[in-house]
Amino acid sequence: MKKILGLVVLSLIICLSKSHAQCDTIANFCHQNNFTADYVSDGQNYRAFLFGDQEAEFETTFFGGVTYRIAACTGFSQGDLIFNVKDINNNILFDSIEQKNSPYWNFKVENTINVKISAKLDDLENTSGCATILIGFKQ
Amino acid sequence: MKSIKIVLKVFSLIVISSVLLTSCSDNENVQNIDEKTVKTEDSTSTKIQQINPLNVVPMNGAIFSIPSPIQLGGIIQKSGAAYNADILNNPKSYENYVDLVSQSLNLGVYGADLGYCALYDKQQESIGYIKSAQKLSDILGISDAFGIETIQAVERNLDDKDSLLYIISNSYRRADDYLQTSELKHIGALIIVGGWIESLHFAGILGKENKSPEVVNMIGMQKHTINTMLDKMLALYFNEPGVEEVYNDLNEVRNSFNKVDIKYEYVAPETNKNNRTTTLKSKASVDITDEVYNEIVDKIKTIRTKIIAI
Repeated sequence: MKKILGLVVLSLIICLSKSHAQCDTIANFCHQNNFTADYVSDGQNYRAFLFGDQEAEFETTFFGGVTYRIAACTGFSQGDLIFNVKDINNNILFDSIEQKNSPYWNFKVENTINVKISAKLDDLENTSGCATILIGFKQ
Repeated sequence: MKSIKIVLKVFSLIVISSVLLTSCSDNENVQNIDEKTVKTEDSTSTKIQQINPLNVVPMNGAIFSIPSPIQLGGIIQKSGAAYNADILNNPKSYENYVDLVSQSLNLGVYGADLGYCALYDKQQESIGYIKSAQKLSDILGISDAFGIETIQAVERNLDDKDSLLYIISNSYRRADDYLQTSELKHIGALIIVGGWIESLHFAGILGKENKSPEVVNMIGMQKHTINTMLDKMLALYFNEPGVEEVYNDLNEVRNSFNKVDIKYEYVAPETNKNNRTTTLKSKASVDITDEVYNEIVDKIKTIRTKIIAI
């Protein structure tokens, strides 16, 4: 029985190590595959490790007159992370599910507003993973 | 009987290990997104979504992101404000920042200064700031983000503002990436705080000069940012020397931001699938009196003076 427990613990350690190692490199993969030179990164990587149907969320300010690009990744496949943009009253302004799980989307902002960006795993593809969101803005 | 127990143990072991390893594996087959199964065909773009709060995880431990200094600098430039070298930190001061807190904060300050110079096509000044940023990042142990390749890339692209801004932003993103996955998260937080203070310092001075509504609006919208900066970033690192002092200084600014009123009006967005773009039409108005605006700007100036002091 001790051996079984030992192997279970070992499996868990391998699982978590693999996930965290991927977390380190997913942001770079996401940036290289979804950002062109005309979109400048905001200098930050937004990420959270998700299990099952957990949802990661943060808020940000979109400034008027700016076009933003949001890219969402987990793992090294495109479109595995579903994301949406809501206003402060939870009205959904965009949902990537409606756009064939597009890994990135552009947002042309007419007036400065605060928005909530949420991401969750596409459960058809993954049961756990490092959710990474990147934001860029057009020059 | 004994052999049955052994068979059961081995079977259990295989099943448990397989389940665990399968559940954590990622799909490594690259697929075209157009071939993916779409979970819903519902195209209503303005529905209200109910989320179980217990199942929501804050990203980076924060609930509100800090705007990029380059982005804030861009808003200042678009407002028509002229370039002003006097509002920047001295690029040679880096040698005199001897503790981790001032080195981290000033790496953020130099990032904002660098972005400001690049936005105004000040090429030689940009080189000076990228070199200072590189020196500080060396000291902080994040030299990969501002290595010799970055300096060379900046020098090669001095005439190309867009490429220059891309390189600078990506360097700060790589530094953030490294710091988030290390035991140095507080350094990452302080770099972001330093960049934010420097950007608000620019905006405050230039906003006072030309009373640009865009800049005043931009400052007012930082009301939410400062709450996250204090409660979700700096408050986590009180055990690190000097962090609590930065928190207390910024908490004074928060008291002034609490006097700012922001009103919001929803307007339905429009989505163009062909160019993958959604136009957001909602509106928010910032109500900030001259007195409160000046109070915020003066407090930011005091903190910024303390940060760059040698």
